[in-house]
Amino acid sequence: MLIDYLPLLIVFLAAVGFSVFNWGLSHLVGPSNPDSKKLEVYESGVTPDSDARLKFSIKFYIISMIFIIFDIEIVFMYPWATVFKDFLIKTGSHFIFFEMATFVLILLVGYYYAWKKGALEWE
Amino acid sequence: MEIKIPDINWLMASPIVILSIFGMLTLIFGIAKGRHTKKAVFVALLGTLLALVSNFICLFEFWQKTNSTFSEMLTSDYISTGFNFIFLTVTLLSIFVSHKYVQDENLPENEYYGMMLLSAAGMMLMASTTNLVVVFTGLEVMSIALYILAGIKRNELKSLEAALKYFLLGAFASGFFLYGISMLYGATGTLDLKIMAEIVSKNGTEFPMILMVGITFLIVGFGFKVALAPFHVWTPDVYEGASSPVTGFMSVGAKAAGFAAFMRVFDVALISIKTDWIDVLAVLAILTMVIGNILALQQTNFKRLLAYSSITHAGYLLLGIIAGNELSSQAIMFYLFSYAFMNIGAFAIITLVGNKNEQFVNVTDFTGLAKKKPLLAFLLTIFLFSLAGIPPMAGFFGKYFIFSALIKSGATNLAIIGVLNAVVGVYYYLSPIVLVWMKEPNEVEINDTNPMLKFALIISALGTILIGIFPSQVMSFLFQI
Amino acid sequence: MELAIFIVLAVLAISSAVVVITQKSPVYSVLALVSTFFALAGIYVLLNAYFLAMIQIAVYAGAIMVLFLFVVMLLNLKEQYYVENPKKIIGGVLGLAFVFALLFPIFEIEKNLVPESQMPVGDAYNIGIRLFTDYVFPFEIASIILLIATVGAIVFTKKHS
Repeated sequence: MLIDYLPLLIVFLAAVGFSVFNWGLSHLVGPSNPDSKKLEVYESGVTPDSDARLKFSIKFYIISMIFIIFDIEIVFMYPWATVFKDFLIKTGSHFIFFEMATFVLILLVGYYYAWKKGALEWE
Repeated sequence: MEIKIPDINWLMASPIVILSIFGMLTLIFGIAKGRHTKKAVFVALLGTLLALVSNFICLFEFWQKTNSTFSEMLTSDYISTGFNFIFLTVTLLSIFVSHKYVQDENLPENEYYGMMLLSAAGMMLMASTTNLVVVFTGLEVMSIALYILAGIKRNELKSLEAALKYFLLGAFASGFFLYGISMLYGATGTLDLKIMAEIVSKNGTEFPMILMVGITFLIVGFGFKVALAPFHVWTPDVYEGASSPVTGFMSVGAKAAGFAAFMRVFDVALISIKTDWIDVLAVLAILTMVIGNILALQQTNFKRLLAYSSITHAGYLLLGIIAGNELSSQAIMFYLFSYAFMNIGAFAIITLVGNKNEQFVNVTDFTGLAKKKPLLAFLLTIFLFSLAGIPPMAGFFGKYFIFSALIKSGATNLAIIGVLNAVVGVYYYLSPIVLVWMKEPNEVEINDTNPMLKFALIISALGTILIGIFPSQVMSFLFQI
Repeated sequence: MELAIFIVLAVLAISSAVVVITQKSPVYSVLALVSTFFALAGIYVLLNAYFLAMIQIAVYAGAIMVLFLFVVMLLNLKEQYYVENPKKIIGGVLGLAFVFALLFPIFEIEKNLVPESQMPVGDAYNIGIRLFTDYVFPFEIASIILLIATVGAIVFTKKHS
């Protein structure tokens, strides 16, 4: 079964190899004459006076955290979807459905909480 | 291939399920309107009482029997029902104590009570299972809810510092714990503690070394959670920084849950190779008691004093685990049950005297309390006497049972060291009492209590005294001897 | 053949991990951590844990590393915050002792290994069957852990009212 993953390895090597090859080639063959004016950060002709970092709002972080939680929920749904039909056939009961329904309901409580507390507001 | 649906005994699972459902209900109660509600506490109280009722029903239904459900993931025996009583008592008392505090300091009610109930559900999970996967997931439920509770007073810097320290060190310790579980699985081939007990006893001493390394990692993980030395460094800062009602909840509940799991792993699964791990645990117990006592003697902040003393109590409980016989598991449960009443009572009084923003939590702020509020001083005396182990309070009997279990298992030297440490402990418990009764009052104003806090104080005091007067009745009824 | 792939992936994982802890710039550290996770996912594939490899890349290298980068961006961590700490020699010595203590049991366990034919295959179907019959209880508890994590993230980041 391991041999099925050989195409994945080849794609990975091709992607890495392509970028390494291009970067390496330009590094070796391309001319390089650094000058103090050339090395300055580009800002449409104006001389830059501070670095590029701004004060970011924390909304990005909250959205990312909530994304992780629901990403893990989706990850659990993937094997569930794979075995759902076999469960129904071999056991004849809907237990598999109620398991996942409980899981989703508990996370739905979390979603409702996040919604009402304003974590999903963007402006 | 064959697919089998697990059997589910809902009565056995009912305390945990009820508490979790009410925890979630408390979390979303009344948030639809977008502003803070004041009524979430009643949902939490209702949930805890219902879980307590269902635990009593479980006690009668499964009297002196051992069953398991959810394909061997959840068990019901005297250990699980007894520990469930401890956790539900702790939760009930903590909710009563926090009511006034939450209103005065304007803490978010939904999250506070919701996390308290869910943390208690995690503690009950840790005690009611013989499968290491459920122990770990229950540990995570309990711990993450406690990290949130420790830092819930967001405008206080000490509180956030406490939450951050607890979170970082706790996550690291959970990592060690999981690594230990994986090594135990590699050595024995199973995660079920009962099957592991059979495998370990059959193979005797010819074990792969990885079992020993796994046990070491487990001791590190457990040691952090219950605050054994040298893993105790987080305890004073976290206990001092967190809000006082939360500290009361955390100090008893997390310790009890940790010791429940510790007991199941070491006294049930690994009991056959006891000679291998008993030396390590004995050294840790002595180190814990001595360090806890020495550092508690120098404290001026009452919360830090109780934190260091709780490290010492963890040392006494570890002596119970070293004893490893049937009497010791009952002794540990009895000790933790009485510890719940006396410790939460002490933290309730600290909450009351501390006032707004917990300004007055030094030992010197309690000077002359007897002249201002004699009843409060009397209650504080009861709690501190019980913590010191003076008869006829419950604390004395807790220590007595543990030391007799230890002597019965043959480790008389450890019992002597334990008694000596208990004697040293009496000093730092009694010196605040001297200040309270003998000195002149200072200018600290104590506001009126609200009825819930009074109720909690009375219940704690009654519990401490009555458990001390009727210890064998408590053991035979609640812990099914 | 598998040994060759394993050696390549192991060298990649360890060297990326060393880069994570020795780099001064936090962004370089995070990117090296992503490389470590990819190497670990490859090792999982070699151990027949195909589902776990997929989750490793999707959740760890995908969502969690994004979170790390957001934190670096929010806190505006720069290279000059790095502080030389002489105590790291002690940490290094203890770490080496730790690794050394782990090597003995790992080499000893070689005689008790499970034969190749009996190794279970960890694809989504088999994991699904075990997860939803025997391990349904920890599965539901995991949802409570996720709920508590959501509450924690929001409690500590919303504005004071």
